[in-house]
Amino acid sequence: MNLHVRNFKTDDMARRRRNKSGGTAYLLFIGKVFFFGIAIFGVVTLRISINEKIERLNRQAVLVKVRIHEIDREIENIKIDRERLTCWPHIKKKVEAFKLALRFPSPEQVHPLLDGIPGRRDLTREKTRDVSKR
Amino acid sequence: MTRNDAISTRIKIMCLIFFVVLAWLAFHLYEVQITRHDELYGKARDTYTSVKTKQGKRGEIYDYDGNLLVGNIPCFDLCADPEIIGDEENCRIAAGIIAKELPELKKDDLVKRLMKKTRNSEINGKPVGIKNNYAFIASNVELKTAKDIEDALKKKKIKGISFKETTKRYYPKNELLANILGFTNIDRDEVIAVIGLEKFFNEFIKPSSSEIHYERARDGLPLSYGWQNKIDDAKDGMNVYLTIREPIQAILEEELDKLMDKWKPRAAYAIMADPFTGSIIAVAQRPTFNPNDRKSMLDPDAWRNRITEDIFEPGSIMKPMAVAGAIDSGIVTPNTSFDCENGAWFYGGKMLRDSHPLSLLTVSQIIQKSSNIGTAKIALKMGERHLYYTLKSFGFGDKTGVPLKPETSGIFRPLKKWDTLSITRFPIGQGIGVSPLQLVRAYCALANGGYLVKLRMIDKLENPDTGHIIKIPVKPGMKIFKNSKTHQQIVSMMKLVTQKGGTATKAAIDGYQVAGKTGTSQKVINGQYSHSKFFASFAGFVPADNPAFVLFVTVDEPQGAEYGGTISAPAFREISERTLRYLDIKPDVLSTVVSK
Repeated sequence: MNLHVRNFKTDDMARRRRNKSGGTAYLLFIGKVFFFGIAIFGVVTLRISINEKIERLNRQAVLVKVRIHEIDREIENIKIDRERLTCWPHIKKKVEAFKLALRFPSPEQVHPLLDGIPGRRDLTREKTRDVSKR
Repeated sequence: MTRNDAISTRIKIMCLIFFVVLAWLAFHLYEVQITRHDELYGKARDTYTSVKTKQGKRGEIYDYDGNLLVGNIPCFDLCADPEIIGDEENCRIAAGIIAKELPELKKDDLVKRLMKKTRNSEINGKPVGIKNNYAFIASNVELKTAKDIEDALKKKKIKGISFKETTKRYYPKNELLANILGFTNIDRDEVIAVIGLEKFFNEFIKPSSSEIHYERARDGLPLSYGWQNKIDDAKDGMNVYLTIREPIQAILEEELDKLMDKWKPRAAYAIMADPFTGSIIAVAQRPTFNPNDRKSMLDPDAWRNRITEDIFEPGSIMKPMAVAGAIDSGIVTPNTSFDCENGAWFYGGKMLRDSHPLSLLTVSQIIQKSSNIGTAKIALKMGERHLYYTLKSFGFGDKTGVPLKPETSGIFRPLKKWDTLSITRFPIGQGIGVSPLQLVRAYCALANGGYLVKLRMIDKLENPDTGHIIKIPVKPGMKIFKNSKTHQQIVSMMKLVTQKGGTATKAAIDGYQVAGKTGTSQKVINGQYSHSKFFASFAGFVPADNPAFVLFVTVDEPQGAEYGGTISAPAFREISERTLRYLDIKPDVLSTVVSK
């Protein structure tokens, strides 16, 4: 018959030691989980916030693009208006309406002015000879 | 049964129920996810997917200096959703706002359209009324008007009117160059080019469109993280730059209008070209039309391109070409004399007459006085073959190649089909049909020293997306004259035409030497030469020795007079005088006097 004598005092101390180290590990584990949880939460929150910002900026960009498009159309409209207003038939109508006493100069009037500039004659000839050369 | 047995039975029943429900859910899941996947996915996709069509801009047409001749004016198409607008009161307010800004629309008619909440349809052959979500209101509403309507509707908090962006082809200069530019029509949202450059360059100037499919948010804006599918790329059409110069074109058209008022002809046309490059600087015809006003386009005769499609017997305008050929080959000199038979000469069984009795004239005087008999005798001296190749070398019988369709090549019989009279009639512009452009090309050759230049109307094409430019080059012309003195001699003769004793003294311009030739030709009516219907023409260039341009003016059936020297020559002078001033060309006669 085997008899084993247990020392209750030693057992209790060992259990306490085991419990103590197990509690620390548990706390450490909880701490890690908490930390990772917080980290994941932070990343996800950051991602959501960035996404939200991206979305907000994207919407602003779309609205700006729409506005640019509208302005482009307004510019196009103004360009057409300018062309209409600057064409000769329109100007002529205005000259007649305001009775502006405009008349063409006679060749005698232009001659002295042109003759005073050396080389002007050739320049003018060249200019008119090839109207297609820019 | 013990209590435990009862509990066990209940548990089994519950398990069975759970199992059945689970099985049903699994079956439903299978049906939703697998069997009806495509159908349901399609429905969901339709809800959150939008399709946006983007249309490029049709290419614009500019003059040489970049003045816009044809553009696209932004505007809106207005339509309504009668369901959204709501009750009659709202419809009346909306109709009132729209009718105020667009007076051509009647308020009552608009109210009727907006109040039509259902429309008739058929389902399985039975007539049913279905919701009406679309009512057309107006097309091509101007930007400002549309904005005013939108603001007024917003103020009254009325919803259901939508503004669809669109563009309208617009010609800011109205009638200016209308026949050359042409116009477009709209057929089910598609632009159809009808005539003119619009049609000729349609393949270059028409835009392409794109379709974008995208996932959208509730407000309709695309989701940044959603998918996008773009089909093709919307590209603008190419811009076309002409050789036309708008200010000169305006001068030409204004003077042509004066000509029409004065002589009340059936038609009139004028062409101005640079003799050295062949660039057409201005071209106009009457009658014409305003491409912005459809009412002015009811007569197709007004939009026909007479300068390329029409042929006419040029009359005496042909003489310088025939005489130049004779001088160039040394058959005659400017001083060679011919007997002009006192105005009537019987040849080949037919009488040939001059407008005035003339006796012995030199070749120079024959051109100055425009003697038919003298010219016919010069041609006889040249011989048929020589005359044929001379006229052929000036481009008669060949198309000019300008970018306008259809273009006639005229009527110039091949040598083997000539009869006895051909040699005496063709050099005086009878029995030969030419287009105004062919004549201008021939006169360019007379003005530039004898080079048959290719006429140009397009200076360059520009891709607005990339800025890439395709320049249309000036092609060197084939040399006609073999003798270096021919040009100077023929120009000297043509100068006499506008001087005292010539047929076109009214074409003379103070301070400038003008070289030209008149032409008066009888029209052929039912195979007979008419004695009351004429073409009165004048073609010339100025300054004669260093020409800035060649100008040709023709009047078809003028009333009250018939001669080119009376009708077209003054118009030539007016147009030339104003153009010379615009181009800043120094007076050549005055400078010669001063330098002496």
